[in-house]
Amino acid sequence: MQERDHAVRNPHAVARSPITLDDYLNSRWISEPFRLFDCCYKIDGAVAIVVTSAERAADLPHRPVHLLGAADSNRFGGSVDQWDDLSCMYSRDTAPRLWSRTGLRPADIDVACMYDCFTFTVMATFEDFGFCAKGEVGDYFRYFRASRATYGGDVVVNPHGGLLSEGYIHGLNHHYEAVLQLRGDAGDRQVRGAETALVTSGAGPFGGALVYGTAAL
Amino acid sequence: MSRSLEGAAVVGIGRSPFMRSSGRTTLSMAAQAAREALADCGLTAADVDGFTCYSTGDSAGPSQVAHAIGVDDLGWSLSVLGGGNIVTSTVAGAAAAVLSGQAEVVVVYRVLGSQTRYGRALERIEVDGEGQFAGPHGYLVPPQWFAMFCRRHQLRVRLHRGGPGRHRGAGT
Repeated sequence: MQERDHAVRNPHAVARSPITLDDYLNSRWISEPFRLFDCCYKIDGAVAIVVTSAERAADLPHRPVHLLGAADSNRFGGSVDQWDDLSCMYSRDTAPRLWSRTGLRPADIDVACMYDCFTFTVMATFEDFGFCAKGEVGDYFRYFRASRATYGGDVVVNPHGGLLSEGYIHGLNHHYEAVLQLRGDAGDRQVRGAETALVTSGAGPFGGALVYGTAAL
Repeated sequence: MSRSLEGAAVVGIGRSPFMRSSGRTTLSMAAQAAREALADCGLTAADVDGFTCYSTGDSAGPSQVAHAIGVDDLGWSLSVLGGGNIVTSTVAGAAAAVLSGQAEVVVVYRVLGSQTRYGRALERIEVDGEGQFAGPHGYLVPPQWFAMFCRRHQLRVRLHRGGPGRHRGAGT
């Protein structure tokens, strides 16, 4: 519901109408406990980003968006059956690597483009990256009180509405949004003063995450 | 602390329209996104010497897309097999190519077409690896896998907090 509220301000999203809790609860099961609205949209489309050196970037028209660090983890041969704790995801192992490589911590992140093939992917990885304690993600995103994961909160999660609203370009659209936000070019949905963006990708036993910043570390 | 990606930046972004059942080819959509990303940063095909994408065998490849937009001398080309799990590696790989001098300007793209992969099985499915053991039980696709993760998380929270016994959906 929160992601869909964000998507209202994103003309590129395929689904831009807000949904209510009743809409959600009346949507059909896909695979319990996932309902239709827990799943992202399959769409046609392409995203491209251009990467070059910071040196060369200085001569180009837009404010460069710097890569501050990245980390991956691929466990158990990518097996969902062999994964040892189903209440966590790859992010349990990726997060400490990423924070250690960048010297950053969750409180330093302004925008989080969290991979949301399903709602629960955001919930599990959000905890693993340390934005809140294990089991507390429901309180953090709580819809009918002030959510801490939207404008005016601690970190804005998926200001474009995520894969759940914009559609599934396998997560490269999250990178597009992060760049747009850090340039200050996100229009109506601009996160004011955004200087850092976390972009996650993957689910279950394998995935990674990257941090972008308006300035090099 | 390692700062191995220091010195690399994203300078251009581009995309095709997003829609269901566009009727377009993956090559056409990928070429459009690449052209727009270059136009966005004021570069031309002549400036590009690297191309990379990730896919699950469903996409127009880097050499093909590069050629389509007029890049005819590609010094660095990398097609990565994977989906959401491999996005970070692909983008970081492009940065590594730039930082190690293998390429100066790299286009990273992903294209998906509704006819190419998800949502339906057009013919008999064959699975290998561990899928051969899960397949007979119908446990084959991501919503089933991650539903299992979600159930476990709900149970963990419920045991810890003594919440309501009846779940109403992942989002609650």
